[in-house]
Amino acid sequence: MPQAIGVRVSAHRFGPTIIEVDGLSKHYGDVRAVDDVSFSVAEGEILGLLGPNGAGKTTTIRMLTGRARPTSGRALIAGHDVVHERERVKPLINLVFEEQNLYERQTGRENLELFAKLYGAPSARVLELLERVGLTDAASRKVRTYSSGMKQRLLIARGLVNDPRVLFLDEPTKGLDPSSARDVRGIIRDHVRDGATVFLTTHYMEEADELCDRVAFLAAGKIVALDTPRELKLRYGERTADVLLRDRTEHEVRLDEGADAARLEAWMAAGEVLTVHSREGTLEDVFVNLAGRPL
Amino acid sequence: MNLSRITAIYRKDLRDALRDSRIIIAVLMPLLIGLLYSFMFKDDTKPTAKLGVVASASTQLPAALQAATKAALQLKVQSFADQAALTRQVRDKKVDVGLVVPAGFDSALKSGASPKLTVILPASPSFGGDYVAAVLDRVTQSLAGQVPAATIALVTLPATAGTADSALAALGARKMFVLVAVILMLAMIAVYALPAVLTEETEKRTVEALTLIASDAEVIVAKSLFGLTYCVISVPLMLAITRVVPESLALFVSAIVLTSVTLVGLGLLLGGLMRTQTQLNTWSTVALLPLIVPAIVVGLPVPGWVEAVVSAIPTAQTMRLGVNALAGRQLFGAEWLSWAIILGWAVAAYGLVWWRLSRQEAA
Repeated sequence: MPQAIGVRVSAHRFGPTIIEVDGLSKHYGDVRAVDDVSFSVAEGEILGLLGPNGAGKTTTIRMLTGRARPTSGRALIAGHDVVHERERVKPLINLVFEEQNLYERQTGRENLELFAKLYGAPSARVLELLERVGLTDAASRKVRTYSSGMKQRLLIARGLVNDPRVLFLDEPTKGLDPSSARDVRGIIRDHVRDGATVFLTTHYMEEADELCDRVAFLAAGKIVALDTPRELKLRYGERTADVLLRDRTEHEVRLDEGADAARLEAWMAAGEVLTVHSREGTLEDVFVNLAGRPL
Repeated sequence: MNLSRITAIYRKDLRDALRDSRIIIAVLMPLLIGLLYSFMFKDDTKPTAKLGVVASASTQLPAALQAATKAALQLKVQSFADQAALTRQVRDKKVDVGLVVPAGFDSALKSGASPKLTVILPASPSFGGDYVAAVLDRVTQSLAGQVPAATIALVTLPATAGTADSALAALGARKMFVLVAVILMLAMIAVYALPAVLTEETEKRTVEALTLIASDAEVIVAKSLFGLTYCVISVPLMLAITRVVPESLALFVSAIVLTSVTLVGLGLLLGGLMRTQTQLNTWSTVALLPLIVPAIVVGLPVPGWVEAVVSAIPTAQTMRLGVNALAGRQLFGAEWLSWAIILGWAVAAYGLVWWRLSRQEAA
């Protein structure tokens, strides 16, 4: 397994660093839920945290949002310590929870109005967000009558109510149908376009590949790799090609294997190749390579 | 502490509770119990009994019976046209005891004759019916002009202060039971309705969304205000529908407010311990009993150790103060001790809530 433990990758291409994490750990007795994690995220960037269940993704988010106190290390958001300056950090961030933790006996509008008041956001923001997530028509309905996709959109609207500089999303498309998941990803992209930073955890590799500027792989509480999806796939993924020959036989060729590459070269030289479709590795391949097991 | 955040959470809780059948039932049930008690019991401090009389001519017997029983009973007299009608009423227990008085009964007594007097009692007579039947012999002897064998001087001792008897004698059963229903209502709000709101927030993890911006203390203050609001609204409602007016309003209001604050503190503790609604349903019943039973047994003749345990419970002290407030005089003494015990529980409850909060912050 490639040794990427303890890597520190600085943000680039984006604005100044907005999340700075240094040696962050959380231990529950002998269990090291998060173990000496360090990374930084730049303003305007989407960072995805990937990993299997129990890898420490949610614990990392809990610490960064001030809901769990780190055992050691520290994290800064916009230069403020998330533990010692929590009150300064609170208005700058928001979180879309993994659970659909909405007030089900309240209407969609009432849910957003509550949080608008808590964050001191103008009431016009509520209507604007309902419009943005496509819930204007359902705003006066009690949330318990909403579909799962509508609830998720309302959760995202709640997460945007204070126009956070950093939006944390914990599995934002979990359990959604493809159409609802696409809507949610669209809302996230719009928010980033407005200059915000997004930190998300997900199980879905395609989602991470599509949305994230960089992804961090977390396994057993440690970051085992952190880079852009393309770089990770090139570095750790397996490049293959599907080759169709004149005799109508199909072959999968591993381009990084010397023998396979030579075979392809021989077919090309003999003019036997009809079509070649190359494929780069997937993030899932990367994870299997790094963690030694599938997600 | 941010007042606008507290207000926002508090208003959300109030609105949510109005749409939550569990909370509505928790408040309505004691109100209905209070209303039921109000209909079942009277304000009279003496039991009442109804005497039905069939008499074809004027007789002094009913008046003489009323005079003979007035120390123990409020005897009401109703006339009936015939024995059959009277019998029906006695059988239906609409009348406690019936008398069929023959014509010329009074003069026959006075002449030394022995006229026949028919007494009708139901299969299971009431105390009033039995009592009237028991004194009939003495009353008819008196009407016959006979001198009693002995002159009986009946001395009824006043009820000992600080007992259920003294409270009943001063207030009557209706007010006593309404007071019990008020305490039941406060307990239901504090150890069921309030923890239900808290537990739901924990179970559905909505509280985590609140505390992303609000502090734990702001959430707790909002929940306390929610619990207190329900107490403050429902107690006057109970008094209004049962038409019970405390003689000492200031004492009553003070006792209810301090008890509400204390019980809400206990409710916050209970809500903080429960993780699921199922747990709460189980444990709130367990928590409710030690709050209600002491209020009921206040002043009853119980063993000394039971009285000592009961006296340590805040609702028992609320009952004592409540009785004094309803009566407008000190039927239960040492009011300072009652205040001190309730206040002690409040300090302990909120101290523990604060301790839990500070531990949570440090986790």
